Amino acid sequence: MAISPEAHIYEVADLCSKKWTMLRERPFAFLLSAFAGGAFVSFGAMLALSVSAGVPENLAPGLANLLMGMVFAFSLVIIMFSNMTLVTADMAYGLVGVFQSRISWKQFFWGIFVGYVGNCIGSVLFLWIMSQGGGYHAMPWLLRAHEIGVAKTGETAAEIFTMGIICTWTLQSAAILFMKTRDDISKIVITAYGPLAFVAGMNEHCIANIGFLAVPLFQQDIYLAAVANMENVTPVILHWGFGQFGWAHNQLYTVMGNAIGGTLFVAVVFQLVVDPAKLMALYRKQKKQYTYKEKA
Amino acid sequence: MNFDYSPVNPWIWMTSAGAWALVIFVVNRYRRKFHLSDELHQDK
Repeated sequence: MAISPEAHIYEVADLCSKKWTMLRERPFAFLLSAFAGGAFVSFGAMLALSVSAGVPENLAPGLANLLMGMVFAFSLVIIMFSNMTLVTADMAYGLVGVFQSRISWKQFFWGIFVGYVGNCIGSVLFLWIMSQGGGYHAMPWLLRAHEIGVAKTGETAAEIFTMGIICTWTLQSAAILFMKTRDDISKIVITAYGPLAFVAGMNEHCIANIGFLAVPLFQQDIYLAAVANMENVTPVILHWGFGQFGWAHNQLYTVMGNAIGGTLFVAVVFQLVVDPAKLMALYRKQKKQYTYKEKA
Repeated sequence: MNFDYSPVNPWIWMTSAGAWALVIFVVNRYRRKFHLSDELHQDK
């Protein structure tokens, strides 16, 4: 059963308080939760690569995207049910917390930074381990990983930025609605919708892209050796820096887009839709004591 | 000059800064008007 809008947004702020209390009192635990969250996202990236390799485009151009989205969907579910940290979800939760004066702006930005660092470490480490496994060195997966890498890093800054905004608009709508219901089945369905929408919708997510782009970069030598004797393949060289086909080029504009989608179009909207008089009445009624105290 | 693959694309940086300025303005105005956590403290 769905709860009232004011109770919902109050609980989102409560979650923000818990997360930022953890960051203040147990920063290593917070970093570890972000590490796990990054790895969980990479589980989805690995599965998406696995199921989309070799799918012929002439069968249906969107079929590979649909398959990727369907297997990626449960990444956010396992993050939410295990209380791990995903930086883009924290952007929405944190901003609701700032709205309700649970945390300050300084604490908000610090939490986002630590969450991003933890997510990056978890994602890159998992995918480095994965890229050492022989299964993904076979030709269909080598080609598919490289194809995804070239597509994402070959986009212009504006294309990446706009798809980054759309990504967190869909994903954080699902993440924030996770607390709208009480029963687990509804939570799973609502939460799975977010990653399904952004992956099948070909959007750009900063942590997912670390995974999608790190794999072809880690496997680039193997890929180049494999296609060296193919006359019809002209390999594109991916790199970690800025510029076309660069990891940093994609990451910079994805982060900038993601930072707007989940805040301006989700947190701000959800907070402002709630009647402030009813929310204030709920604050008075609940008399709920939260542990977080802002540092002066 | 073509900024399609430059890290300093001025349109995107300005759009981003404008969006964040809007978010910060709206949030700060809301905080000043409603003081929700102050309400919580008064009730303790």
